[in-house]
Order: sequence, then structure tokens, then C-alpha cells
Amino acid sequence: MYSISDYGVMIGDRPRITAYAEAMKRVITPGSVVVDLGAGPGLFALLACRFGARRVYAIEPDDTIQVAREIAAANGLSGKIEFIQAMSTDVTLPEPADVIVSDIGGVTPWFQTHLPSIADARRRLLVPGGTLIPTRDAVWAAVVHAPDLHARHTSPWDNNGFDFDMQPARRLALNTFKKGAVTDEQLLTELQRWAAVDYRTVDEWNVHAEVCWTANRAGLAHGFLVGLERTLAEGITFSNAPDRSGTLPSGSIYSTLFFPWTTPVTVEAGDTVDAELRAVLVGGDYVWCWKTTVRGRGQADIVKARFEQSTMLQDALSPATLRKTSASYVPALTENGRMARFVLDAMAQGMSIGDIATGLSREFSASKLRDPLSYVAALARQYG
Amino acid sequence: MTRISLDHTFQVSKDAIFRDLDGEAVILDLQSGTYFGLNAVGAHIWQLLVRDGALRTAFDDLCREYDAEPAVLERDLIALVSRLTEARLGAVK
Repeated sequence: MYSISDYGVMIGDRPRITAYAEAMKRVITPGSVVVDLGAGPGLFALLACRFGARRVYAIEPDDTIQVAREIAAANGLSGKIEFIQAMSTDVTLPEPADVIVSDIGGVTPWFQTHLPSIADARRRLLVPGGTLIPTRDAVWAAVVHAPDLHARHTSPWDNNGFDFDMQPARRLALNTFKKGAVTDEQLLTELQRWAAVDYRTVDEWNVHAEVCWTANRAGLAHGFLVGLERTLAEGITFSNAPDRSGTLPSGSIYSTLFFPWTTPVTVEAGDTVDAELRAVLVGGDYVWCWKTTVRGRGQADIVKARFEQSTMLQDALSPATLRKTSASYVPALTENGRMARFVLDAMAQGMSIGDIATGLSREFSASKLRDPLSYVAALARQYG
Repeated sequence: MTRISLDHTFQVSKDAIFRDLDGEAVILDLQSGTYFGLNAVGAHIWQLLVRDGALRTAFDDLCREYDAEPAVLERDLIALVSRLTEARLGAVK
């Protein structure tokens, strides 16, 4: 979930907001019913009202929706916007929407449960033939010379200041990707389209695609950069491409992503780089895998470098935690688990938080329960 | 279903990602999004199979490395390969 200052940064991303507003203005007509999906502080809901919407449903699971209510009231729009604090997948509307506007993805469309949520909203909340904003995303990638971005993964471990071998941490750090930008002088290849999502039809949450580049100049390659070209409505797009086609400033919330290679590789003009990128939704988040092969110019059978990396290898794990990821693991309730079960059972019986906290204090040792009331209240917020 | 023997080879799935830690391991099947746990011996067998899919080669390595009856090692190897195959983490040929 985002803080109010995070939302401030999003709203302050003016080129992005301007493009969204332009797209909304084009499709919203007097009488339109609009859904603002993942409304946050409700800017899109307010804009929908300004552009003539008859009714707006602002759906947001986080408590930020209270701020959205207050902002709507401050602008005299409380009567037009219905605020619904829930996951959109749990919401049923009294009428289908003509327009659904959302910005709940990450830098790429493959972010948490973004795609299943959009597809669900399209099926259940949108009138047949209705409009989705955005309409589609195209994701591009390019091989880059980016010593600074690569160093952000490796430098803390290579240069720890005490000459310790910190390779185990370095290995993990090279199996993750981070936001990062480059200039077009740092591109060693053209931008290639890697994958695309059309929100009007998307029904697949995973992506698996290959991209092949030919280096257009020599240089030390550190990995590849992935970015987005978003179409909000026909003719209204924004892009974070570092070449001249980019329309977003480098400070945009839609930063590009840098996928580091295990080691930098010297490439010559004409060398080829094949990358297989894959993102698979596991639980509520994606596991990313990237396999890279660098070959010399005209030497298809001579491999200069080959890497296989995955975010599955990025997190520090203890053997005990590792065991718990396995489908065959049989968990046993800990003391904390028994406490949570006690609280959930009491909630199911309709007891007040105060009474549950009192009962909890009687049943469990004080050393485990410094603040029973807060503990019960936290569980009640989540499950009550 | 094919009765697995030492004459078979095991081809590790391209959808399997292996992570080991202090000898134990977990394999993520990207097709199903499920995790498959391996104890220390299982993790070692997986690595032998990645290096050379021939079950007989893996069996010979196990006989050299473990002080156990060959019949027991063969049974354990084939049982694990059977479970890995059922979990679609590889295919027997």
C-alpha cells in the first residue's frame, strides 16, 4: 500500500496525469458511468465528474479512500461519487460502467494481481464494448552500458571496506532488478519490443517471450533496460524510452527497469544478444527469470557469455524458511498461531475487541503479549 | 506409465528453477507456480541429474558417495525420479 506522500508523487507526475486526463476527456460524455479502479486519493474520479460523468464509482481497498471522500466533499462532488472500500474483485455495482480508468500496475503490466484485477473488472463491471483506460501497453527492452546501475547491485558487496568476501550477498543482489534510467548514449542496441498487453482482451497473467538484439556499437554491456509505452486511448500515449521517442521525464514514476547481468560483457558492433524473459504470477506476485546469451558477430556457435537469473534467487532465505515454501511442508501451529486462532475464534463468536483482549491475556503468557488490545485490533482490521 | 529403470535418462524441465541452501533445496515449477522441496540427498541427486541425465551415471555416483546398499540407493533414486516426473519437473526418456 502507498503512503499519502507516494500518492503525492504520482499526482505530481504531470505528463502522466495530463495524458490520463486527455484520454478521459475524450471518452467520457455527459451521462457516462465511470469506475476509478484503485482510486487512491481519487483524482481520476474527480476528473471524471469534471468531464461530465453522471456517476462515478471509486474503488480502493486502502484507507486512503477516506482522504478521497474528503477531497470530493471539498470540491462539492460527494453526491456524484460513490466510494467503495474493497478489492474490485469483491465489488458488484448496481450498473455497468461505460469507462474504467485505472493505474494499478507497476512499471510493467506484470505487477502483483494487476492483470487478473483488470480482466475481472472488464468482465463484470464494464458494459459490453465499454472503454478501458489504459487500452494497451507495449514493453520494450534494450542492452545498455550502465556501470552505475550495475554498481548499485554489486558495489556494496565488492567494496565493503574491510576486504571481506561477500559473494553470497552479491549473488542474490544480481538476481533482482531495480528502477533505473539511462541516456540514449548508453544504449548499445535498438529498443526492441519484448511483449505487449491489450487490456481489452487480456486473459493470461504470465508472459514468456524472447528478444534478439544486434549491438549497433561497441561497449561494455551491463544488462538490459525494460520500459513501457502505454496507450491510454487511440493517439494518446506515453513512453519512458530513453531514445527520442520517450515522452516522460526521467523523474516519472514510470521509471525504466534495469536487469543486471551476472558480469558485464564487452560487446562489439554486430554481436548478437538473445534474451528470454519470463514473468510468472506465483501467489500474489511475479517471479521473473531472464536468460541471456551473447554471441560474437557472425559466430552463432560461439558463445561469449551466458547467464540465467531469476528473482526466485534474490531473497535471503534460511533453510527453515526454504522448507516452508515446499508444497509438501506440514506446518504446525506456533504460540503465535494459537494466539491468532484464539482471536479469530472469538471474533467469529461476535465478541468485542476489549473482551477478546482480556480473554487473550488470561490464556497466554504476558511475555508474548505486551499489548493485547493492539494485537487484537490489528487482526480485527485485517479479518474483521 | 513407463516403469523407470537405470537405463532411462531424466531431462530436467526448462520450467524448473532450483535453489539450494545448506544442501537442502526447493524447485519452483514455473508452469504450475508450485514449489517442490528436496532434502539434502534429493538435492544432491537433482544436481547429478542436471549434470548428466543418465540414471545409471547418477546411480554410480551415489554408490561411490554413500555407504548404503546399492539396492536401496537404486530404489531411492528411482522413487525420486518418479516423483519429479509426476511433478512435471522433468521427463524420463
